[in-house]
Amino acid sequence: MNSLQRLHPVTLGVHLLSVIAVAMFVRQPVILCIALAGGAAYLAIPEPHACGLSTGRLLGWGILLCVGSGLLNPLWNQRGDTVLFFLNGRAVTAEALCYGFVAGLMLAAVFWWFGIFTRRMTADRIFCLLGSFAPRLGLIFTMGLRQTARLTQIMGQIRTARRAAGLAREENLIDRTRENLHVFSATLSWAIENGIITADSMEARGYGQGRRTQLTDYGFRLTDGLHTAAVLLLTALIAAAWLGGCLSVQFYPHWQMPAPHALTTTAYTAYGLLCFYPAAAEVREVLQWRC
Amino acid sequence: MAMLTVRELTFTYPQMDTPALENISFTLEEGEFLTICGPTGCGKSTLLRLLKPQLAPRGTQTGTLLLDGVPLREAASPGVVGFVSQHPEEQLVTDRVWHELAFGPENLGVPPQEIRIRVAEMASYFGITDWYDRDTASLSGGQKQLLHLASVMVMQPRLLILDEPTSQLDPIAAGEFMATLKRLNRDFSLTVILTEHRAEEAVPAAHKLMLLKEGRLSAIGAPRKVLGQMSPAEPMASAMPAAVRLYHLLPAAAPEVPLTVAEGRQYLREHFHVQDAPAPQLQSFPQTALALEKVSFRYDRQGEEILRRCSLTVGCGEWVCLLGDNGAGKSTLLQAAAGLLRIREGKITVMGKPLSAYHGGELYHHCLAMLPQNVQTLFARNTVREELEETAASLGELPFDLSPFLERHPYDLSGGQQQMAALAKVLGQHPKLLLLDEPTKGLDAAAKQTLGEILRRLCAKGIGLLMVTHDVEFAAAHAHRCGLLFRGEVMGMGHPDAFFAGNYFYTTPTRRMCRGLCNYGITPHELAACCTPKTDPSQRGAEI
Repeated sequence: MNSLQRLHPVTLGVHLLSVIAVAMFVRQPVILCIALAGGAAYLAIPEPHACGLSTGRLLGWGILLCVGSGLLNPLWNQRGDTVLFFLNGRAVTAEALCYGFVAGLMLAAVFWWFGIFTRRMTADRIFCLLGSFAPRLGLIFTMGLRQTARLTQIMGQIRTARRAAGLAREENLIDRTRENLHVFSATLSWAIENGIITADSMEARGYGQGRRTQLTDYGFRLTDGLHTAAVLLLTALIAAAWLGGCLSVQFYPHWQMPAPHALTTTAYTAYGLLCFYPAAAEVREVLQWRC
Repeated sequence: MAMLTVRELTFTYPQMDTPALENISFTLEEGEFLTICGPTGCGKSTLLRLLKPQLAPRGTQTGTLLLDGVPLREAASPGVVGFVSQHPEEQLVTDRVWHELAFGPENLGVPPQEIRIRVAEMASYFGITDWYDRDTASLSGGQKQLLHLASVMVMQPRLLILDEPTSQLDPIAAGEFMATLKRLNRDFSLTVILTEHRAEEAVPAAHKLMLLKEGRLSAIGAPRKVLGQMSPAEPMASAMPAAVRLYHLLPAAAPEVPLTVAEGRQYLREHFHVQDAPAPQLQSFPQTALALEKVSFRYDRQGEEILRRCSLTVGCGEWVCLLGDNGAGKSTLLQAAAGLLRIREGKITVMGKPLSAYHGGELYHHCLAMLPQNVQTLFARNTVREELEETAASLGELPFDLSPFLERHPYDLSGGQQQMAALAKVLGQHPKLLLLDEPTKGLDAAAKQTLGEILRRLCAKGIGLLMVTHDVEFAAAHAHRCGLLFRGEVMGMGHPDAFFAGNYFYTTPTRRMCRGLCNYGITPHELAACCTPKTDPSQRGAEI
């Protein structure tokens, strides 16, 4: 059992994207609750320097999305049989509230899992992912990162140089806008002229000769292969259950869920495994390092 | 058979009447180190690019270029000839150090397992293992250039071509780079072709020295032979190492030309009496253009102090130079003086008024101007004429002539010409105080001479100059006062003669040659004036 950080980027991508895809397409309350529980369990494990939003903000915004969606849906939607009360001449139905909450659960689940995705899929891993399938795309990605940093630096230098040479007029908004345009134009000229040097450097080292290979920092191991296969199998099971109609929910005109079936429980178990695996693997690792 | 054979190479750029290179012929054996010297525009870069087929310019080319007897264009793979240019920043392509090292073999479709071992061994050889995972943006200039050299070496070239690789680097980084180059040449019998303006290290390291002039080969051979036959009146002679310049200024007392500081010192001790010079007089400048009083600065409250109680004055018409290595705070000090940083401790006054009394942009009009390190950041128009019109600079007022390049695009000018265009633009504001951040970076000896004269003329007009630089020889030749900036503190301010005479490392090569032999003498001319030849053979070697 490998924690998310030890997985090969391809496996990591497949696992997380499967969880998110199922949550997005199968809008069923039990499935979504499993997704939320699994996500919350993983986020609850403390991680001091996480990329992206902090745990508190992720959880907070998720809850806000869920509650907000639930409360706002009845304002647009008056379908449904059970009318609770009238607001401004519009009927607020229980079914509309339910639909809103379930949609909110979906939003929150996707939001949390994308938060986990941001934390684990660092630039290095994205590079490896791209590089395995399309080496040229991987190169564009890494060049983009480099050039963005460089051009930001140059833009700052141009701004300072113009100011210290008395060329910048910053009294009013028009002057400032004009100055920004000058700075942008100068940065563009600089980028074009100096891009030739970068292009020469690439050609000198044989760029454009044929198919590129990619050196990656992550090796694809047997466990990664097995893990990916397992994830795809479980997702296939859930897909089968969904296509078979076991996971469909009817909200309007009244709440109706299909009768429980063996396939339904299988789908729940499969999704449970997918969603709780990251948290379980992380806890196992923490315990391993404790003793 | 020689490894590289060049026979009657002539090259003309399209739409040009005169050839850039005319009838160049030479051979190079495996393991030889060739240094090419010549003024700007002599065709050095063209020759180097023609030797690297992927970068060869388009034009009419006649003559033969053979690598191991085979025409160069048919050489097996791009990795056989490696090329390193002078721009450490722009040469880097990727965002991580290990990506950059792997870039070359990846292009050639080498299997990842093989790339892994090649990158590992090259990283170990260059000592890059510590920064293997870092972002390329976080490296210093010297590290970037070493990284590029390593990434070229990963492709295992047989011939390495370098076009002024250390021109953008500070002296310490340049020294490390040259040492690595010499090590590569010695350890792997790697053939190296190098053009360099920093002749002090490049010429003694060479097996062969080539002098180019206006596209023609004027001399090629062992450095001592070529420099011995060189006439002192030649313009290239002033670009050669200090020991060589001294040899040319003094009556020849030995057939062998000294190349290094150690050889020059021995030459002096054996053949000349060296007298003391009178103490230098410090010129006084009554009006103060800039005054920093106990200025301290850090970027944030918890941050490290970059400037520590710095005190400095620059008079009107005075040229003050500050030397110091990277990280000493030179650029920060200039930015503070230019009013670009918020100073919370200490006081800065410009032309008698404190910085806080200047409102809006009035500090930068008719008062103060800064010439940045990267002069290309000042260019925003299509022709030099339009650039000057942006600041209403009048051509007649400039102390130099820009008319040959008025209609050209600023990016088409050479380094020295860009420097002058930027200076003209900045002078359009009629500043009384000029701040210069490393103005001599990447310039050849002739351009430095021109720049020095222009700046002297500005000083004579009453403009105060504060210059921050690594270039010890330039400061020694022109400044009124010099000081050292170390860890944010200014120390040792004084007349250049006194300042450099006292220093051990931050001093000119000439001074290192005559240290202990006389009290002053920081340029070859000054030292030559203090020397008299020893006529009696028994006197040689008698002094300590």
